[in-house]
Amino acid sequence: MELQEITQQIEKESLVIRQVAAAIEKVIVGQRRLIERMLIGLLCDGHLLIEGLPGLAKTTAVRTLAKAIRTTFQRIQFTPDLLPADILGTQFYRPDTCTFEIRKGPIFHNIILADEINRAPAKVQSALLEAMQERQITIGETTFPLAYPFLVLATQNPIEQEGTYPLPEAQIDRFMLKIRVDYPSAEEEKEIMIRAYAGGDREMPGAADVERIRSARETMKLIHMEDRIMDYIVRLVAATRRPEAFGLDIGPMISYGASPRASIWLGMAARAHAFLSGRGYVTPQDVKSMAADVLRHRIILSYEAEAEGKQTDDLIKMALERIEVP
Amino acid sequence: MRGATGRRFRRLMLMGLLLWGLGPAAAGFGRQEGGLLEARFVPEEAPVGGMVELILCYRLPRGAKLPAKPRIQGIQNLSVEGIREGSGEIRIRILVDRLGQFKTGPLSLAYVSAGGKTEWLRAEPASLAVLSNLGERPGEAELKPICTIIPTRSRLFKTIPWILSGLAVCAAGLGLFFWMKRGRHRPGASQARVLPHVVAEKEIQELLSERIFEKGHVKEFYFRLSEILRRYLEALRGFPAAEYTTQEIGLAIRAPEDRQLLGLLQEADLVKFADLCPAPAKKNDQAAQALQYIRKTGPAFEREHGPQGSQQGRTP
Repeated sequence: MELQEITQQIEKESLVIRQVAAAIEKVIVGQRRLIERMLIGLLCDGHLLIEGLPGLAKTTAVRTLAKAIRTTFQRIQFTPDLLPADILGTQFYRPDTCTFEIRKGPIFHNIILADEINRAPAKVQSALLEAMQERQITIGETTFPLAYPFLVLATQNPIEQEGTYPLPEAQIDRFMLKIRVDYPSAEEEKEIMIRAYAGGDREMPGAADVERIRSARETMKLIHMEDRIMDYIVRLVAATRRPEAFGLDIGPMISYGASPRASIWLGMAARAHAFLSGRGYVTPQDVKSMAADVLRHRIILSYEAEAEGKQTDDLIKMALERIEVP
Repeated sequence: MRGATGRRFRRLMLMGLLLWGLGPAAAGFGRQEGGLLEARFVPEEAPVGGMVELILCYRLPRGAKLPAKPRIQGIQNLSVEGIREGSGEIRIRILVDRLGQFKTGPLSLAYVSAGGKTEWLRAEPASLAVLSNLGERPGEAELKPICTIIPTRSRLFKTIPWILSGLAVCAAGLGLFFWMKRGRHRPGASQARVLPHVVAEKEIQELLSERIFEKGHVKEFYFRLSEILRRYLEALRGFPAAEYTTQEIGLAIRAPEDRQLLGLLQEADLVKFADLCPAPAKKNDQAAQALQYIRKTGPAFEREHGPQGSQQGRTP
């Protein structure tokens, strides 16, 4: 297919996704970045880790996304006493029929909000993350595929680390993006107040359905990514592992760099970014726009970096400023 | 005769009486009239941060007693945590709060003599061997940096830039001296450094002469053209254009004439990333635009920065 045809198709398909974004924006004031990243996750079939303080409309945004694409939504509050069966489901005995019956857990929904994922112990986190990876669950001897689309949006509170179980590095790598949610601007906050005083939930008709999402995902695969863009992605990811090879003075601040999964997701995210812009090709700007969200949770900082108060975002910024774009 | 002998006898008697009266007082001043004070640390060595006891063993002269609250001198410079009295001894709990010498001053303990006067028992200063918490070879121990508490960089790092700056200034001075000396003998030496617009123009001419566009390597042509222009822009305006995307360059440029270049870079992006294949005439037009931009901005840049060119950015 010619690039011009692809671009036309993408323009048509991305219009639907833009309508979804517009529908969410009718309910959520501000947080445009969060909405865009949620749609990127949906398009790429990648799960998201959302980090932000309480009260920043994270739950509402996820709930609204589910409504906008006419899928089911389930919120799971992670607590220290949660068990894997509380998420996945369980097999129970029915004395009247003398049989075992399976009760499916809340994970059998399309959009899952794993609220405060770091409040549950490792066995629960691991059960969820395995389901996220495999997209199927085995209860007893029966294996059940999970719903389509299946998207997990996990939230984490950056403060109050007491009594939490931080996600292990291997598990955190399974999330496609880690999004930082910030406070709204003054105007946005005023609008939030006005809406809150007006009261009532804003009813919102669905803007797309599962089939449109499936079609958009298929179209997104057609987006052209130049070889040199892939080289650029590889250089960026490699710079987090061997910074000195790229003239970066941040080697002692990094314990472990990003994994090859980061390169895969960065390419996918850049494609989705291009898709949302209605373009049939990826530019270095798409890569730069997505780099922080893809790499942020995949770089493990050293003791020195933490002592100097450096964050992964600072190191990613330095890498982006040093590596030449194609 | 008898009168002189009698006077001598009376004088001797008087002196004898004086000596008998002053004797005990003089002896009491030197020997503390049977009193004794000894001081020692228990244990005799302790690490920094540990607690030790300074034990003052005393024996008071007959009929003397200690005041209700013991008065001790010589421990004012130490961190005293508590004082406990026992029979014939006073135990003072002290925190070992320093490395190196840990020593009391000359020690004195006050008491009330039988006559009701305040007197002092004295003892030599006591000392303690302070051990390091950093192991057997404290010189080899390393402190872990903690933000705002223990410097995260060594002091050497702080002084290195100054030393290097000093050396650089000396080197620059020497370099200038020799350059001026050579310049006097070699007219036209100031033209040695090639200006960025000269380099950029030369590179574009070379690119055109290689005819890679005509050979079918369209993308390669635009990748190279874009790189030359980005490096020129970097040398010209001082921001890292080679690491910037076209969108970022658009946000960074200020001069109106740079807008022309931005359009050119956007068109190049379409070829580089969107597989657009421009006609040869379009390519020639774009190359001419690039050369025109360089010729327009180069001399102005030279006038502004002098023939040495900008020190910012990299030479294309």
